[in-house]
Amino acid sequence: MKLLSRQEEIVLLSIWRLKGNAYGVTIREYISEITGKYWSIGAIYVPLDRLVEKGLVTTYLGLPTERRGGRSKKFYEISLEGMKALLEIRQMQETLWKGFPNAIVK
Amino acid sequence: MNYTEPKPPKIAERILNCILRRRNATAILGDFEEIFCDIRDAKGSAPALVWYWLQILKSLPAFIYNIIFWSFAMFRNYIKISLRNIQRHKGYFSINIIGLAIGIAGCLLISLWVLDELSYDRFHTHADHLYRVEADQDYSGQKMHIFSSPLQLGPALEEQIPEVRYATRFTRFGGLQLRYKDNSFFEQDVRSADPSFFKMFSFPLIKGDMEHVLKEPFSIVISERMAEKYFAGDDPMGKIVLAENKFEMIVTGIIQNAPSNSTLRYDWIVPFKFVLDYLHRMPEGWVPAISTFVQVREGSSLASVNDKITQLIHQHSKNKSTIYFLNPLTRLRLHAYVGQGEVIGNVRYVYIFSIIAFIVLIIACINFMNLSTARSAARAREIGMRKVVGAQRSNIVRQFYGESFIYTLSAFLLAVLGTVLLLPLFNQVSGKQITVSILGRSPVLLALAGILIFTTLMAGSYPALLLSAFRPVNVLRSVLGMGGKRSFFRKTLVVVQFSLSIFLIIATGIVFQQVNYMKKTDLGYDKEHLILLPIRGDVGASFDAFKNEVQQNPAVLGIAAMSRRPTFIGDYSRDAAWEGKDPKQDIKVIFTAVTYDFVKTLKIELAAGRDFSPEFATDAKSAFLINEETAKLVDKDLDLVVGTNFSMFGRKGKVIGVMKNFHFQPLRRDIEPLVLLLAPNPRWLGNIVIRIQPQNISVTIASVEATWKKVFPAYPFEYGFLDEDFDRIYWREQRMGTLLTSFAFLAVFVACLGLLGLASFTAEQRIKEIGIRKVLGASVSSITFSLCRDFAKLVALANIIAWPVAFWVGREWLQQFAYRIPLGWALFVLTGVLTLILSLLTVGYQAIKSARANPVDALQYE
Repeated sequence: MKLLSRQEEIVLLSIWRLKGNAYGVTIREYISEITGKYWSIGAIYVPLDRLVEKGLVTTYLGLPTERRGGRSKKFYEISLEGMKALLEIRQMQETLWKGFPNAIVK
Repeated sequence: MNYTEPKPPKIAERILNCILRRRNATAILGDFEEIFCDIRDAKGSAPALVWYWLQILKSLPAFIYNIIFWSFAMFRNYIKISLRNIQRHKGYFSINIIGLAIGIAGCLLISLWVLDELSYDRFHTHADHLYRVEADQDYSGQKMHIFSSPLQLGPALEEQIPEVRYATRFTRFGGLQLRYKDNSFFEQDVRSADPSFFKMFSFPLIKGDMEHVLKEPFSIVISERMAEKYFAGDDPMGKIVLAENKFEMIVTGIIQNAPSNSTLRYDWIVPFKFVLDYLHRMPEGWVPAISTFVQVREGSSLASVNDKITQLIHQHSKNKSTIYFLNPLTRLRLHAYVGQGEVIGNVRYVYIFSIIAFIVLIIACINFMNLSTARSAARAREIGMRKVVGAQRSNIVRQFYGESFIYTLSAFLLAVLGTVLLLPLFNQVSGKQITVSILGRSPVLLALAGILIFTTLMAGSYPALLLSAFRPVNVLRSVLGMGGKRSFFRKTLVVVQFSLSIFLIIATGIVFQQVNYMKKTDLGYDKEHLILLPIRGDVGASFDAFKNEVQQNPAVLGIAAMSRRPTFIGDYSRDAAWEGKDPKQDIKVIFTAVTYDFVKTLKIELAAGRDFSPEFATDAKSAFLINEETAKLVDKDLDLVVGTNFSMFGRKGKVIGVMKNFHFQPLRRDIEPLVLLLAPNPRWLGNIVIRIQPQNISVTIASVEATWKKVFPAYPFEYGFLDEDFDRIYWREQRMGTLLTSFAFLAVFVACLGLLGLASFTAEQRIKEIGIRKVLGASVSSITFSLCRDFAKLVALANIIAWPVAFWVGREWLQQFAYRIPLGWALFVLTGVLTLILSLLTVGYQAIKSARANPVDALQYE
């Protein structure tokens, strides 16, 4: 299986963190907050679509609200494969990072 | 509260939806709206809107890139196929493009002409509120339309009618002799106006102040053109120009030359007051004499203004039957009419030429359609393949429209280039001053775009819609029938195309025959070898001295003076009365003042009585010469008419002679009643007519000039030939004839090009059939004949369709001429034969070539 990209990793983890409330707006807000950078909507949807395609994420529709012009929210939920993929990448990273100093000593 | 909370704009949402185009578009749109609401609640709706639009802007490049990227792949393929097609059928392609280019160029040129005509007088800022005062006179129930109004009217309108914002008199008064240092000319186009003129019309002053330029009677406004002519680089402002050798006029302003699309023209403008008080060239009393222009206030009721004007004039004038009204300035060029509704405006020609432009374009488009459909079979397989591989019908339609667009565009560029190159020639023929820069103006650009789109659709529709509907299975199995419906359609197109061409040829023929007829008709006097000298200033007073001197020359056969020109006498009067005339009858006659020897000089024949003669002392004050038309009004018996008491303009006398009818007006009109009288004073005289011997004309003229310089040293010698003057009357018909010829030629050429393409294609289609026929023993001539016959039939049919239409239109056009040619069958038959020969020549070459081909070449692949 192909490894997750950094973007995908971030989005996937955010979905896990947001638990039941992960949809476009909240994911974007959360990621922007964490990274301290501006993320455009497109920047969220491209990795999201890819994750859905790979089957790492499943979607379900919420109730339509007035604030959204009568449109439903599309919620994202991490799938079993998604969890596996995250574990895999963490394992790999831990192997790679092992023994790396916590600070640079001059 | 909902209405205070703005939602994202609907258009923006739609665009976004369009850009997104994927399954979860709704969810994303929802997200967008939610964020929009968040921003709105936090910062207000303006930043929210900005944000929303910004999002769209940002996503556009990627979106467009995607579309282009994917369609480009297909597009490249279309281009490639098109280019291959072009390469393989170079002849076919060039016929197609050239035919279309010629058609478009023709259409473009005519469109420019039409647009120029339509643009007349629209450039004035107040164009919609400018009018000329015109009038319908009443002659015992017969209406007579004139353009003139009393000279007192202008100022009275400004003072007494509140709806009138400005009024100005604007009149040509016969020109002025002008001199500045050594530059001395007689200027025809001097106009007189009131100061309001500059406020009403958008003729900008380059120098001078519009309030003051015409305030003093001895001021004069000069046009740029004249400034160059007289002052050549010097500043004319404040300089003194001598008028009529005695008035010192101060140049108070410089005005821009009138644009070529202005009906009002001027080279110089002087105050009306000057003409009235110092030149004494105006009649007395409230009689129609000059042009008055009016600018009404916005929102005025025209009907009530008309009533007020008529009432105002009736208060002062004896004549209470004339109705005055305002005619919009913008109608003058196209819709002006005189007399009993005789339209002298160009509107008829605008219609005719618009139709011709359309016809030419249609013929060219038909060519394109025809050649494309002819080749449809050849491309049917390509389309079949495309469909099998997965093309939608819409793809095919797009492909063919695209191809049509490429062809049209190249033809179009060629056409624009051709138009630009032909423009000087076109201007010469049409008498216009259209410059290349007109191509950049918005209405022209619109017209260009219109033509481009129209042609693309017209030319591309048939192949696009028909070819795309082929069923791939049939096409690939070669079941597609070649004959039947499609070849019928093609034949119809050829017939239409040729009908239109034939129509144009016949129309051209009719116009030329009529013009020729008018030029060759016996006018009732001899118009050859007559020269015409205009009378300026006080030349008329010394006419007798001049006459005596000139007569010494044996080459001068006759000399006389008259108030108008022999080619056009148009002064109507209702003042004529005679013994036995019903006093209630209001009859208008045309009159002109002449000197002795007028009848002799023009070689007018007398039907009864005698000419004016100095031997009869009473002639100078009391004699009248009338023509046969007038004589018919007076009495039926010619001999009794001579000697009848007759009176006009307070002059009582007798009819001394009756002239045979002669044409003193264009042949558009019937010969009207005419009365000649001897000029009571030299002021009445306007032109000198001299008959000279046909030999050594230049020597004779030089001698006349020498005499002129001796007698009138202050006036430049000007002369013209009467037959030139005569030709000028028919310039409109002449010009139309010339334009029609070019376009008829063009149409026929394009039609033949199309025929050529079609013929070569048919020959190619039938190559096997021809091969087999030859193998079976057919001769070259019989095959050629059979190939030609098909086309000849079509052209013959086209003739039969076009004849009645051309006959009807021709008859309608001829209605405007009182004297006209009969519509004979010769012209029609001749056109028919001509088109048949032309089409056979076009087809014949191809037919012979394929008939002579070796059948082995045709059949070896079977």
